[in-house]
Amino acid sequence: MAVIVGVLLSACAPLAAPTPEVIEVEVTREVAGETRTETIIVTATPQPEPTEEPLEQISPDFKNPDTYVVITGAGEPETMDPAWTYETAGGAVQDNIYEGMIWFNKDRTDEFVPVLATDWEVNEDGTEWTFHIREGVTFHEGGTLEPHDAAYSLQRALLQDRIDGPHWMTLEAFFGLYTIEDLAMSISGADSFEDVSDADLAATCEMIKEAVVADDEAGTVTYKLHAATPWFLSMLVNTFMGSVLDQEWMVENGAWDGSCDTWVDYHNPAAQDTILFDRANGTGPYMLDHWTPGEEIVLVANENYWNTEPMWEGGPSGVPSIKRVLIKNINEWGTRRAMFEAGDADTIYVPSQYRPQLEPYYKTVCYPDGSCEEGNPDGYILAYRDMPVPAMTPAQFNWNINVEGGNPYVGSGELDGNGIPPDFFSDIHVRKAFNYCFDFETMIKEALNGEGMQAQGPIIAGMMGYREGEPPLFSYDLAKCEEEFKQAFDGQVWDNGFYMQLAYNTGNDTRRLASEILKAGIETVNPDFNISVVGMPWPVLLNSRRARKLPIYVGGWLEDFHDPHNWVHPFLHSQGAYGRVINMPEDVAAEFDALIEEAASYTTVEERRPIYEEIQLKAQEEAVVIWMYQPVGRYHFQESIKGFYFNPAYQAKTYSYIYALSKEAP
Amino acid sequence: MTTYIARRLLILPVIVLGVTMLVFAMLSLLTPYERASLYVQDIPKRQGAIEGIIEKYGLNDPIYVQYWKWMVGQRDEDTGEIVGGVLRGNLGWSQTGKSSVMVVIGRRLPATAELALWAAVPMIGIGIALGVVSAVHHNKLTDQILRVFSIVGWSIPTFVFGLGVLMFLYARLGWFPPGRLSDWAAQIVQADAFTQYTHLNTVDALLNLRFDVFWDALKHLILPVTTLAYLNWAYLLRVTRSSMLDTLRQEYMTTARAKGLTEAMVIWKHGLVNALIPIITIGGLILIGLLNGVVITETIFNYPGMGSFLAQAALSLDVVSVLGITLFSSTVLVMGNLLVDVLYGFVDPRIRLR
Repeated sequence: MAVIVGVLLSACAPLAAPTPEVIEVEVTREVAGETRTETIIVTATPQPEPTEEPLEQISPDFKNPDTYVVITGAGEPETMDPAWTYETAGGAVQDNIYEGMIWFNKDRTDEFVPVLATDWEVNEDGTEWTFHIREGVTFHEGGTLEPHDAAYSLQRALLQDRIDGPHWMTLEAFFGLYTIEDLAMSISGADSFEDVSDADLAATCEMIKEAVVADDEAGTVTYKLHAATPWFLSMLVNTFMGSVLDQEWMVENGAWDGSCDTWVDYHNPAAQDTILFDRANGTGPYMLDHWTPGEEIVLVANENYWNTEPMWEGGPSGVPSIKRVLIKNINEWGTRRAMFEAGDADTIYVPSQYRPQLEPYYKTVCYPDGSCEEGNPDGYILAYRDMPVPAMTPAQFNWNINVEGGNPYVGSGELDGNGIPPDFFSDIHVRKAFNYCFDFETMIKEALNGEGMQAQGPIIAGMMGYREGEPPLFSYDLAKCEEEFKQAFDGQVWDNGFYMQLAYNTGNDTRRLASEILKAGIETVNPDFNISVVGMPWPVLLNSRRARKLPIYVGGWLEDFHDPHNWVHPFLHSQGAYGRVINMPEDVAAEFDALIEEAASYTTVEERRPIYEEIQLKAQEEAVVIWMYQPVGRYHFQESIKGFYFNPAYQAKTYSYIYALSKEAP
Repeated sequence: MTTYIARRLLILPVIVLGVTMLVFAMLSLLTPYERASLYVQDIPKRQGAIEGIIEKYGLNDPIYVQYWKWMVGQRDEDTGEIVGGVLRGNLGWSQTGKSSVMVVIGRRLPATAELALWAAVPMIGIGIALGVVSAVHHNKLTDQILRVFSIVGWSIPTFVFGLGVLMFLYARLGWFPPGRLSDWAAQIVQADAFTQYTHLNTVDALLNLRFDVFWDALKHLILPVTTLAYLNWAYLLRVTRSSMLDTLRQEYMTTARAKGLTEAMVIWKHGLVNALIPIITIGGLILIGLLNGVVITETIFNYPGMGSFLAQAALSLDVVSVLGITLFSSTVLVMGNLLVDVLYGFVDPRIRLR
């Protein structure tokens, strides 16, 4: 017990108290108009001298030389079916198992290399993409890749289309509609999917087959889009759209047989109802050995992997170097850290607040420009830092709050000092005031440990449409905040004050801090302004948000594919995930909709860029939301891991493409 | 005694039914939208997605209809067959465990049972022994030291103690890793050549004569067992001490000494046996608690047992999982209490169960 208590206590041992010092000080003071110089004795309390505590030596053993051990905190996959998956924990695993026509050209997000295709061409108006299928590729279970496999895979994915799945994007590209049920209803004219006749259901399926066509003799598969979709390749590279399955194997195992008479039986399944729920058969460098939910996912190298030539200069080829991959999801940070220190983990997920704990042990630190520098020679960690993550956190305003049946989040519901009216955020002065009152710098410094940047608008840094060299329109300025509040509602906001609740989802400490910082800024300018920060469990937040009752909440967005359309549409389009609950007035919403749709109608960067830049500027000028911050990421490996590069579009940066990695004894 | 046991066993389904009805009644406090969040991991990107989920999973049905479906199953529209239903032996699909609830229990219970079995011996054995020693040395230095020892154990939060020993004994010294098995041992256990008779890794390893696997499984158990044992010793020590002090003052103890018995015989045979009733009660409750899972210990040591699963399911509002585990836990609780009651009769013949 003594040992254990000693260990526990030593972790929180205080610094030795410094001895008070008695010193003589000469002071000058004025007494009754007369200046005197006196010597007084004071007892000074010296500051504790910063003691340079010796860094504890940590030397993880080199363990499991053929195995790459990933300890995540990202949660559990929903399924192993790539067409069903719409989350990163599963998608990242599938990236290693399945392949599609193309893959990213190493760390580029806008350049692609052929994988299961040898090359491709697109027609003049950008609506028809034809891929030439590679020969000599075999699936893990032994089947041979043929063009009809690629066509079947996407046809199945589109027909399977499940509630809240990813194929709203795919269907939009092919048909300009968001669900397969909408497509069927548009064909039949029925008001509900249940009323669509068998003939129209078959016709719906035929439409899908006409849009995705294989020619086994020519060795091609062709995708026929509804309209030019400049981000088509950015979508196709994703597992949910691109993964190629072995049609014969799928049918043998009870999946959709390709018939237009039966597809409805396979439509909108629960995760566990598809045959790929817990097994896999792709062509990729790794095969699924087993997935024990809640415990581990194990992949093993595909020793018959087809690739013999590097896909980019210096890229990997041949049989995978790492033979076995073990992925565990461990929620407890202390456990993850312990496993890393013991050498039982090759890479771990490190939330930003814990990064300072590992920083002293950085042996090598690499940066986004590819440069690396030596850190502590006695350290053990290979770190990649300041990596821009394609995610963004805004504070979302609701311009037209629903108060039907009562709404506790808006207090009295009136501008009487005890609440806010439903249209509180429809006044641009209020929105601007909130933006000026948010201390972006403190947020990034304190809540993100400096690992983030102020967002400029919906489009993230480095992406087409980001206004390079232009600072964000808003910065922390309490004078301007006050000025805007005084103009809001003809001065009533300033005179009467207000009360409201600001929500975030519980468990997300970064969002809590962002909420607290916003509250502090606003309450500083006027003591009659009161904001209550409310942490809400996910179900409650989701429910209140859907009911459009939350006046303001701090949320987040992680991209589906790497293109500005996937940023402006969700945030600003009236049908977007966020846009539809902002409740902008029709005229403002129509302006954004028109711009977004116009940008989507062009295919070249030259045509699209200025429109996205205009949207970016307008989104700031209108102060649609508070565009808070874009985080930057850090990734930690044992020194023995080689070959990592950063691609922001990978679903999981440290294990989406394990094929490129190797493990060598330090 | 037989009548008593039979009566208690007959009451079991009533208790279990009552508990599940209570859980279902509590559900009516949640809106269908809140319950639909179980199936939505992020802000829904498609309009109408939540409404679709509510319809698909019948979350808008009256609560008694949902309960009925859960109990007796429902007709599959495509095949016309009745699927699911607790009465048909199907506890439903666990969204949290990504398997049927029965499979999840089957997967998690051996881990929990193994931890409980290994923890029970040092926890109860040493806890009782410390209590006896403390009582025998009433108010002496040994007693004081043991009481401080127990208070320290009782006061340290589980996660502090657990993380402390994990960082020191595993991260620094590399002795006792978290989880159930090392990867190399897991590969052996999962191989066809290894027969999993009980799914208790230590037991199966011995039965397969894989002593390397046995030692690996044992190494993974040491920290969670130590944590559970140390934090529970205090409780057992205090109960045993108090019960023993009572017993030691009885006249029959003097009689035993007067008969010329050794002090050890007096204390351990006559004293402890007569002090056992409250100890059995407490020990039984602790064991039942262990069998139902210990959330914090399992979480810290990444131990895939029932406790961490139940916590995760409850936080996600995974009603089917919570109900399934509730059924299991209620059964364990009732059976455990029954066992304790039966043990009373054996320990103290004056207690007659009818």
